[in-house]
Amino acid sequence: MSEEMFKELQELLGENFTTSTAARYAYSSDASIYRAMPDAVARPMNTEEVSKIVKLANKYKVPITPRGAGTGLCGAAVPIKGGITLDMQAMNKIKSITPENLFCIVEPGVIYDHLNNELKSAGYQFPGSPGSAEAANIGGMVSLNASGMRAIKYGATRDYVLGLEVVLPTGEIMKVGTHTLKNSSGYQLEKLFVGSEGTLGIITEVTLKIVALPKAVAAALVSFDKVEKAGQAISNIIAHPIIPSSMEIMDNTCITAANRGIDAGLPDVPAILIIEVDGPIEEVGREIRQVEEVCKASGATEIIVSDDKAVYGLWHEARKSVLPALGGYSPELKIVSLADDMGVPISRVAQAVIGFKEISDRNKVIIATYGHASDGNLHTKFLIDPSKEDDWKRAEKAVEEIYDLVLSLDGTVTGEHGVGMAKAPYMKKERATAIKTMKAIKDALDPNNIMNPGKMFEWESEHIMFSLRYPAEVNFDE
Amino acid sequence: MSDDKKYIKGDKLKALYDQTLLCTSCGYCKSVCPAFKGTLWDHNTARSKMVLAYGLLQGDIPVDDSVVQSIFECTTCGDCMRRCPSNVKTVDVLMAARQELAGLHEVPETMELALENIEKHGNPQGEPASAREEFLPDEAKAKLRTGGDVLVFLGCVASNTDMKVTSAIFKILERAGVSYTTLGEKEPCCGFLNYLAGYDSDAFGKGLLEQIETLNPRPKMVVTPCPGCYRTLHHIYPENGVDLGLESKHILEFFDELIEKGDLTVTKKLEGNVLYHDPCDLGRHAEMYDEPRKLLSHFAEVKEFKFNRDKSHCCGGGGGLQSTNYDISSSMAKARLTEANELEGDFIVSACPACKSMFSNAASDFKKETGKKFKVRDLVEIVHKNTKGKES
Ligand SMILES: Cc1cc2nc3c(=O)[nH]c(=O)nc-3n(C[C@H](O)[C@H](O)[C@H](O)COP(=O)(O)OP(=O)(O)OC[C@H]3O[C@@H](n4cnc5c(N)ncnc54)[C@H](O)[C@@H]3O)c2cc1C
Ligand code: SF4
Ligand code: SF4
Repeated sequence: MSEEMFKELQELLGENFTTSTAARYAYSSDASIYRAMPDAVARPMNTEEVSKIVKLANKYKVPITPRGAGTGLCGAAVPIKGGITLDMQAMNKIKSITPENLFCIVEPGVIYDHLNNELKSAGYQFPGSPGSAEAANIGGMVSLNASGMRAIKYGATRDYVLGLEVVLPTGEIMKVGTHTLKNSSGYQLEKLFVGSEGTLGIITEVTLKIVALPKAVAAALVSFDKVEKAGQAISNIIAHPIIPSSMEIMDNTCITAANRGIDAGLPDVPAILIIEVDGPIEEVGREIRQVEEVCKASGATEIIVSDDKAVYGLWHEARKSVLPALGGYSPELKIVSLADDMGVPISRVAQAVIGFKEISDRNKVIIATYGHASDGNLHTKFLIDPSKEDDWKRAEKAVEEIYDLVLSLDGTVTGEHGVGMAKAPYMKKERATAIKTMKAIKDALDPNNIMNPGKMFEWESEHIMFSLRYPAEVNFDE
Repeated sequence: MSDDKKYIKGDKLKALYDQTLLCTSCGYCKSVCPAFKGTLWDHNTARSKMVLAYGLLQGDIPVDDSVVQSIFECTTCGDCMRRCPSNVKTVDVLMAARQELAGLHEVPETMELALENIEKHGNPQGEPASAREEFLPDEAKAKLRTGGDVLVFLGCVASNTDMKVTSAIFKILERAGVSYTTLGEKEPCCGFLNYLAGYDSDAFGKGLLEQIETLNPRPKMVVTPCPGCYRTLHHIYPENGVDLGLESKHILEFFDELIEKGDLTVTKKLEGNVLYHDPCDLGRHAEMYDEPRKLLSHFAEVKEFKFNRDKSHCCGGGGGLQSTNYDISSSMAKARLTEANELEGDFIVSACPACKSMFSNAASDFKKETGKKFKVRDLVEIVHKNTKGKES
């Protein structure tokens, strides 16, 4: 970054602009495997400041990487080409909640849980429910099209974005979408920014649809002695038809981790499903009984049903804790975020889970599988010794095999966590026919390629193990 | 700080290297970290402290003012450790990072000043040693360094800043007929601030031990109203191989025993909503949750903050943060009062002179801003105002 630009940013932002060692290092990583230091961190307080920062970056052709809470798992917020990291966390106002309009308007730095706490008092919710709910920002969620365990019934962030205010890569402020529940007025550009991972502009305001909180909730904790049977139960429930509000699968590696991590007391079996139904009281009672029957017929070994939030809340807490709790699975092995978020058609969940296990055995890498079984979104976590180059190499091979399997099952390489760097080469395979158009859109909006460059279709290698935040370098040319 | 880049030696942090890798960067700790909530900067979160510790160990980053500031912008409240689903020993890592920095004499200036005061005057406030006797009631002055069953270790904060608590302690002991003594100007600083600054703990406890040896009869027990001193006497000295040769208690435990034995009788109950605030050093760090509630329940029906016991929010006075970043530290106290206000609390009772001081300052601002008046009290004051001895 040139001296001139540095001075201009400092003048503009004062204390909210820093090039300190601590800030640059702290902002060099997210929850992914990557590390790359920005040259500076800038923290805007309003849209005008964002616009001025972007104009400067565009003038000096310096990369900008927007960042929310930094909980992304694919390195989308890691500034791989340096430049400025734009920390959006201080733009955290909930501007309005209008249940009578069925929407709320928020700044991007609002934390998911904070928004839902406010909505709750009005009897409403934004039901994305990511595992990272207590930290993740709305801006980050929109940019990755995040969702969570309730997507089967409530959809993903995409389905809630009614309108956006965006600062384009030229610094121009653009409003897209509307303050109405539907519109047919031209290209649905608001959706273009959903999942754009900060490569097309900076989101400075989000109008989000909200939905009423359910009147009643009940859940079942179901044990299986075989993963295949759990998979069969998932398909049988959907085909019945029952649309649960969530249906989570956990394999034994995950169960063990959750029990160790938060003392969850889950049954020690090959696989469990945590199934939740919500809605009017009578319907919930009827549906949870149907869930029980279908699970029994699918070969469940134990079924515990509860409508007590303290009880099923702990099951959800256990499921939410899996990702971080896997870190304590074994002293030498550490959890790394790889192949974390594949989507397959619901009927192929069991096939995928079994396939992942075979890949895990073949490549001698511990792979834990869990996920939102009801919408076919599966997470795996890899446990490796992150200081060993060989472990990384075996892991990458397993990652490749997992993605090949997923694509052969007509799936997607990412259901909710986004592409960033960790899935870039595989996303290019999956979206082979769309890359050219994506690139054309990017070129049109960001002619100087300043917005989060080097990610997604711009990733140049067929490998993903570069610039790691771990003590190993992985060398591929032998 | 000079321009030459400095790097840590690594001897303190090395043992915790594994912990820095165990951290998945999930960010759960951001949701509870008061240092993050107060600044919204990522480099102040517990997560980033793990990241910075890793960077320091790997030699990725040198030690400079910004690194020192980040490592110290923390109350050591320990809520991150409670929240962490991977059970990362966050506070151990950040304390080891502080030790590395202290090894290079890299400690925030304001904290350095307090440490210089301890060196020169025996207390962080820079008061003359004789000031420790100013707030003592006459009865206590008569028992200075005389020996007795119970040694009262007041600690620097109570001695130098809280006349009410200091004098109440001795009035209660007199009332209950306890054989006690106290050290007055000979009372050394316990060393907790040096510990928090990351300085070597070799000298810990030796000064106090020397003083105890001069007392005749030798006390069987030492009691203190300060959770920091309690942690130091009860946990940190033994961990550093210093045995004072007597039992150590927080004074609230001792007062409860006096009530149970009938040496103190409860005369009045408090009127209004009484909230108990768990000090971090007594709660999360010493796991003393039931004892203060039991003592307080003699005087009131104890109401709980929404975040209580191991989930309690810090008052902002911990970890030396008050000296390194007063703004964040006072915003935490204010946030806690806002929680109390939502619960319609009248009394905010704690068992820590630092919590009381933080809340008292915040309460006067709160009153100006909202008109709401809180009664901020130490448990000692409640016992003093609402008990009598056997004969009275
Ligand atoms: C423990 C754990 C559990 C998780 N569980 C889930 C889950 O269940 N479901 C799920 O979907 N995800 C999950 N995630 C992933 C992640 O938390 C979510 O994707 C979340 O939405 C990221 O939000 P963030 O604020 O942290 O974004 P960041 O990681 O900071 O950024 C993500 C992307 O958004 C861009 N961005 C951020 N703000 C803006 C803005 N204002 N304008 C433009 N671009 C912006 C960044 O450039 C980056 O590309 C989990 C992560 C963890 C660590
Ligand atoms: S909660 Fe634990 S694992 Fe998660 S970021 Fe904080 S220290 Fe790391
Ligand atoms: S000890 Fe408290 S203030 Fe310090 S990092 Fe942890 S949560 Fe934040």
